[in-house]
Amino acid sequence: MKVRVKEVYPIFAWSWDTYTESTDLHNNDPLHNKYPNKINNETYTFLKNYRNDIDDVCGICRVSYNGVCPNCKMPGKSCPLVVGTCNHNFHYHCIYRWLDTVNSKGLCPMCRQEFTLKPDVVINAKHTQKFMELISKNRERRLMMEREERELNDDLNMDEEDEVTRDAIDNAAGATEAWTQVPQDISDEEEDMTYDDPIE
Amino acid sequence: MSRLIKEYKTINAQDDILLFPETADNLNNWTAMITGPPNTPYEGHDFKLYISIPDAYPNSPPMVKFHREAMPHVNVNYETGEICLDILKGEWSPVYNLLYTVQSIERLLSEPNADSPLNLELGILMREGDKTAYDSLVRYYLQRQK
Repeated sequence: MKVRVKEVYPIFAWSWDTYTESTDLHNNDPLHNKYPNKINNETYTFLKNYRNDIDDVCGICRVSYNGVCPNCKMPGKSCPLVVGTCNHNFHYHCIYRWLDTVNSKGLCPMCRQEFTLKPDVVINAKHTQKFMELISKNRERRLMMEREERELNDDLNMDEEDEVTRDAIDNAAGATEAWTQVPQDISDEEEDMTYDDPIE
Repeated sequence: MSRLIKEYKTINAQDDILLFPETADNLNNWTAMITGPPNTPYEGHDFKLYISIPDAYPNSPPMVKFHREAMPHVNVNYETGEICLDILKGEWSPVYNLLYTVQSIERLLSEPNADSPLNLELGILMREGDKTAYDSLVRYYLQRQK
């Protein structure tokens, strides 16, 4: 029998190169161990998990890493995946929107450490620049908040000190007055009483 | 919004906590039913939670309330049903979801926190460490509702 190939449809696929739980699953796969050279590691993992529910998802939008954030349509460099120094991955837009809220305090939603981009993972320059601006804005905001808090504490301490010194002065003044006045008061009262008694 | 649809799908599979949108075509208002944890004065009672989802969800926490005048608890305003819980305010993280939030509120029932009282009457009893009086007062409130 003779087979003639009339047409060929090449299909390409890609996925973000991240460490995921499925990487582990794949490495333990007996098929992979039996034919390590025949099945290319990355392609195999990818085809097995292509935009699949078992794949790891972005913690913020719950869409697969290989998918897109809810506001984008095409996965790829316009909506990249970013990796933090804490090794937590999110869609660029998802983590950007979170870090842009005051509530976030610039911290990773998973581990509450400061979220910064892992230096050896490269995303396109425009995104990186925008992200770095946001991170420095958050740092400034945090420093300002810390400073305000410190000033507030200082003010409180100052007030307390003021009160203490003012009280001390008042007490001292009161004490001296008391020393000088008390005997007079008593003598006045005694005099009054001596005048009152005979009348009654 | 698409995230709420995902949550809706996963929640349907869960049976231990009742959590559902008030109407099927609007995922911005949800209702949850939690049962009083065993060995607490809330045992044997069910409580309804009203959840409303802000536009910025999940970057802002959901707003959760008990029914008014239904939950005697140190961290719940009895008149309004407002709840004081860190994850509903500053400690919120977008990786939390509605189910986790409701589970946290259920945990709050067995672990009341005297540091941020919204119910002063119960807060005073708790600060004084009078657990018997606290539990009795909670039971009295719950009994009165029946």
